[in-house]
Amino acid sequence: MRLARLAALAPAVALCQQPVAPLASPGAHSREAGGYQVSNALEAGYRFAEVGGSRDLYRAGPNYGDGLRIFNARFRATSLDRSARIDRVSLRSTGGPGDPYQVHAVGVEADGLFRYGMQARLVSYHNRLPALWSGEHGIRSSRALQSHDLTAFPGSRFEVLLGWDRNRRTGPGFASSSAAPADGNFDDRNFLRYRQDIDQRSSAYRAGFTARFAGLALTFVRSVDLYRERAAFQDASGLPSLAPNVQPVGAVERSHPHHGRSPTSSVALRTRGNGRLGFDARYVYSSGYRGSRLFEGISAAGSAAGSPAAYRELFVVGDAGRRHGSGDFTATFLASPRLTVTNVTSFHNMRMDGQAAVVEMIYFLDEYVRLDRLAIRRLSNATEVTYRPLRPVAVFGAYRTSDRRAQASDAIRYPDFGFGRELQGQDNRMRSGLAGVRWLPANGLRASLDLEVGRADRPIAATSERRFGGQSARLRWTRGLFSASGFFRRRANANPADLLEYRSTSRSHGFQASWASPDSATVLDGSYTVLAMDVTAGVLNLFQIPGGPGRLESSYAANIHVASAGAHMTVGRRLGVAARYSLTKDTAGGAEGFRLDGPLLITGFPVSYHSPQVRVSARIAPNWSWNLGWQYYGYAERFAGTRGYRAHVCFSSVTVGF
Amino acid sequence: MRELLGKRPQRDRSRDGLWQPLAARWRSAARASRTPGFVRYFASSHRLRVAAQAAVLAAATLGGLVGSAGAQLAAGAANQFVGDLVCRGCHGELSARFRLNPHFDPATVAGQPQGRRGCEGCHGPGALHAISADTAKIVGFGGMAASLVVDRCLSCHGGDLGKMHVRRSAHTTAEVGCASCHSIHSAHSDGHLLAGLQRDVCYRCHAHIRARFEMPFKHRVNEGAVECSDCHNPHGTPVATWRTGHAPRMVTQWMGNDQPCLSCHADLAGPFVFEHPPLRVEGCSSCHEPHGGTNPRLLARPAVFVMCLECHNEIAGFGPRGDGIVGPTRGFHNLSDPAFRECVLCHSRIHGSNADHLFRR
Repeated sequence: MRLARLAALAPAVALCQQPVAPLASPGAHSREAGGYQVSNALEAGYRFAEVGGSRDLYRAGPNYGDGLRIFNARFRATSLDRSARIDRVSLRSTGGPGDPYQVHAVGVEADGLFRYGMQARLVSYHNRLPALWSGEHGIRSSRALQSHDLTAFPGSRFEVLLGWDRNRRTGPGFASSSAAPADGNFDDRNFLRYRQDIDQRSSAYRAGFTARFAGLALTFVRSVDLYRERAAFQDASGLPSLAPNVQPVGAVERSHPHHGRSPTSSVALRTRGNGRLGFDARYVYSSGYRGSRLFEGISAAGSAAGSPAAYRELFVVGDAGRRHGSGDFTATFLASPRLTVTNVTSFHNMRMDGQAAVVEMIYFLDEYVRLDRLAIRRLSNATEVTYRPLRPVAVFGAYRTSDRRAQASDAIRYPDFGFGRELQGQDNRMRSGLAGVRWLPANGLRASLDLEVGRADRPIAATSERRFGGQSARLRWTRGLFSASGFFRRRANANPADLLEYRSTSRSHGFQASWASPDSATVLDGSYTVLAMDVTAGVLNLFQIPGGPGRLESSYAANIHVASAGAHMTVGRRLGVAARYSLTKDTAGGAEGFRLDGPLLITGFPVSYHSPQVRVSARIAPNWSWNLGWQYYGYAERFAGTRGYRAHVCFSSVTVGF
Repeated sequence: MRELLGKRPQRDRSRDGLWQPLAARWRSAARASRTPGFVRYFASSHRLRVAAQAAVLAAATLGGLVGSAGAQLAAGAANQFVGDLVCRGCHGELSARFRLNPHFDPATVAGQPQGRRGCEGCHGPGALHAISADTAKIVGFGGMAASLVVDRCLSCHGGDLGKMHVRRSAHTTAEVGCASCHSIHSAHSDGHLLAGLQRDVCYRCHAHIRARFEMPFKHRVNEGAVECSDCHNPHGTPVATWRTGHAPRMVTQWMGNDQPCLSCHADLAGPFVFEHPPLRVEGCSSCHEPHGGTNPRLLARPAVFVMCLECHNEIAGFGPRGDGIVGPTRGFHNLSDPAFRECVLCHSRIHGSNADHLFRR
C-alpha cells in the first residue's frame, strides 16, 4: 500500500521536476473502445525564448528555441480480453518537431506471439569547442539514434531475438595539420587548426535466440556493427594557427573517410529457477576492424618577406584490428533464507593491432609504416556473502581480486631500417574488501552503511586506484505520503610516486524530502546536496618561467552546492500550479581559473547556474486544459574571464485527451 | 500471420466461467460512463463477494474430499489455490484493473499450473486468507525481505537474459528488491511496471546523481532524451571489461563487452591504429564524469591541460610498459601561452587515431 501511495505521488513529483518542456503525463483520458482500454493525451503549443549574454553558450546548453512543439503525446491501448490480434500498443512522443531533444517510441505486443519496441531520439546541440576558435558555437551538431527490437514468441521455450540500431552524428569536428612557417619549411610543431564537417553513421544488426530447457536458459546472439565516417575540408581562407611565424595558407584540401565493422557473438547459459544453487555463464567474442584513408594537401604562397612557396601532400592508410574475448561464471548458493553466497570469476582478453602506412611529400618523398599494439588481459574474482541474522538486519561482506596485465609495443619501419620498442607489459594486482550493514528497524525506516578498503600495486596511471577506500551511509524514512532521506559518501585514493603523490578525495552529502496531501492536490519536494572534490597531483612545469621548479603540485578543488525545491498545487477543480527552483553553485575553494603560487598550480572553476520555473494549467473544458509556462536559465562562469547567459523560455500549450 | 503460425495458446476458459456474462455487463456499464465498465461493476458489486466466499468453502471442501481427509480440511486449506475469481470477491477493483496488467497474460500462462498464474502466482495459496481475511495468511510483498521478493519474482523471470546477474547486483546486496522500484498493481504508465517515472524511481535513493543532472553540463535525463537504463541495468550486469572489473557494477555493455558510452558515441569505438590507452584500461570515466558536472564536456577537471598532465608526468613505473607516461615536449609546449592550455586543439583525435600516433589527425 505504501508503494501504491508513492506510485500515485510520483507523477505529481515528476511534474515538479520537469524543465520547460513538460514530459509528465498531464492526465491521460481513458476509455474503452473496440475491445481495448484506450488512454491518450496530447499537449502541443508554442514556445519562445529570449536569450541575453552569450547566446553561443546558451546554444551549447539548454538550446531551447522558438516554434510550435508537441510537448507530450501519449497513446496506449490494451486489449481487455486479450483475444485481439494486438494486445498492447503504446506510442510516446516528446519534443517534435523542432525541440533540441526529441524522443519518439512505439511499442506493439501480442502476448505469446511477438513484442516489438522502437525508440527514436534526436539530440541537437551546438558544439562548445575551445574558446580559441571563434564562431564555432554557431555550428549545429545533431545525433539521431534509432533502436528496433523484435522478440518473437516471448516467454515461450524458444524466443527469437532480432534487432537493429542506427546512429548518425553530423556536425563539426576539429582537425589540425602542419603549416608552413615563414622560412618555407613545414614543421610538425606548427599546426593549423580548422573545422571540418563530419558525417558519422553506425548501424548494428543482431539476431539470436533464447531456448529454455531442463531448468536452463540458453541465449545466443550474433551481431555486427557497421561504421562509416566521412570528413572533408576544402578551403583557401586564412586559418588560425598556434605559431605566430606561420605564413598564410594558400589552400587546404583534406579528405579523411573511415569505415569499419565489429562482428560479435555472445552466448549465455543460466539456471532459470530460484533453487538453492544457481549459476550463470557468459562468453562474448568480438573482432573489430576499422580503416581510414587520409589525404591532406596544403599549399602556402610565398610571402612578401621572401619566403618561398611550399606545398605538402600527406597520404596515410591506417588499418586497425581488435580481438576481444570476455566471459564470466557466477555461482550462487542460497544456503538458507538467511545466508546467500555468490562467487563470480571473470576474464577479459583484448588485443589491438594497427598499422599506418605514411607517404609524405614536401621536398622529397618520405615513406614509412608505424605499427602499434595494445593488449590487455585480466582475471578477476569476487566472493560476496549476505547474512541476515535478524529479520530487519542484513550484513554484507565481499572480497574482490583482480590481476591485470597491460602490454604495448610500437615500431617504425622505413624501407631500409626500422626501430621501435618491443612488447613490454605492466602487471597490476588489486585486492579489496567490503563490508556493509542494512537495517530496517521499523516499517518505512531504512538505514545502510558500507565500507571499502582496497590496495593495488603498479597502477597503470597516477590517477589509477592504489590505496583506495570509501565509506557511504544512507538513511531513508517514509511515512504515508511523506518521505525523507539523507546520505553521506566519501571516496579517497592515494597513489604515492617517487616525486609527488597523487591524492584525490571526493565527499558528498545531502538530504531530500517530499510530501503529498492525501488527495495529491498538493505536492512539495526539496533537496540539498554538496559534492566536494580535492585532488592534488604532481605535474610537469611547462610554464617556461626562468628559475621555476621542474615540477609543480597541482591542486584542484570543487565545492558544488546543489539545491532544488518544487511545489505542485491543485486549486479548485480547474487550476493547477507547479513551481520549481534549482540552484547549482561551485565555489571552487576560492580559486578562479588557475594561478601559480610558487610550486603550486591551483585550479578552480567557479560556476553558478540557477533555474526557476512556473507552470499553470487551467481546465477549460472536459479533457481540455490550457497551460502557461516560464523558465529562466541563468549561467555564469569565472574561468579565464567571466561568461554566461540569461534566458527566459516560455510556452503556451493546450492539453487534450480524446 | 497468427493463423499461419498457429502457435499462440488459447485463453484458458476453464477458469473464467463466470467471466463471460460479466464482460457484457462491463461493456454496458462502460457505455454509461467513461470509467471502465468492469472496474465500476466490481467496485460496486457485493454479489460477487458472497459468491466468492461460497466458492472458497466449496473449494476447501472439495479439496478435503479429494484428499479423503475431511478432518484435515483446515490444515489442507493452507495449501489450496482458490483461483482469481475468489480474489475478485474482496479485491474487486484491484482484480479488475489487473486485466490491463502485463502479468495478466492468458496466452503465456495457459499451460501453467494454478500456482503459477493469476493472483496466486505471486501471492501463493489464498484459501486461508480468503476464509479469515487475515493478511498474515497470504504472501504479501510489503514487509518481505528484498531477497525473498527477488526469489519470488525469479521463479518466473529467472530465465530472462537481462536478469541473469540479479543475485549479485548492487541492488540485491543492498537489500533493494524488485518491489522497491516496481509496483505491480499501481504502476506508472510508462511500462516495466515501475512505481513512477524511471528517473524519479532512481532519484529516490541516488540523490547525489540527481544533483548531477541539475548541473549545467549533463546528459539530458531530466529533459527526457536519455534514460538511466540506457547505460545501467538495475538488475545487475556482467563484470566490466575495463578498469579492474569490479566497478562500475551496474553499467551495461555495448555489444556485450565494451563501455556503454560507445552505443551513442560510436565514432570512439575503434579499434584505432593508435589507441589512447586510458580509454581501454581505465575507461571513459578516467577523464569524464558521465552523469553531469560543472565542467564543459563533462570533463573531470575544468582545465584540460591539468587533467592531461596528471597522467602525462614522466614518472617511472606508470604506463602500459611501466616506463612512465610520456610528457609534453618541453620548450615547445609553453603553458604561459593560452594556446597551449587546450591540448585537444592540436591533439584533436585524443580518443584514438588511425593516422597519427600523437592523435593530431
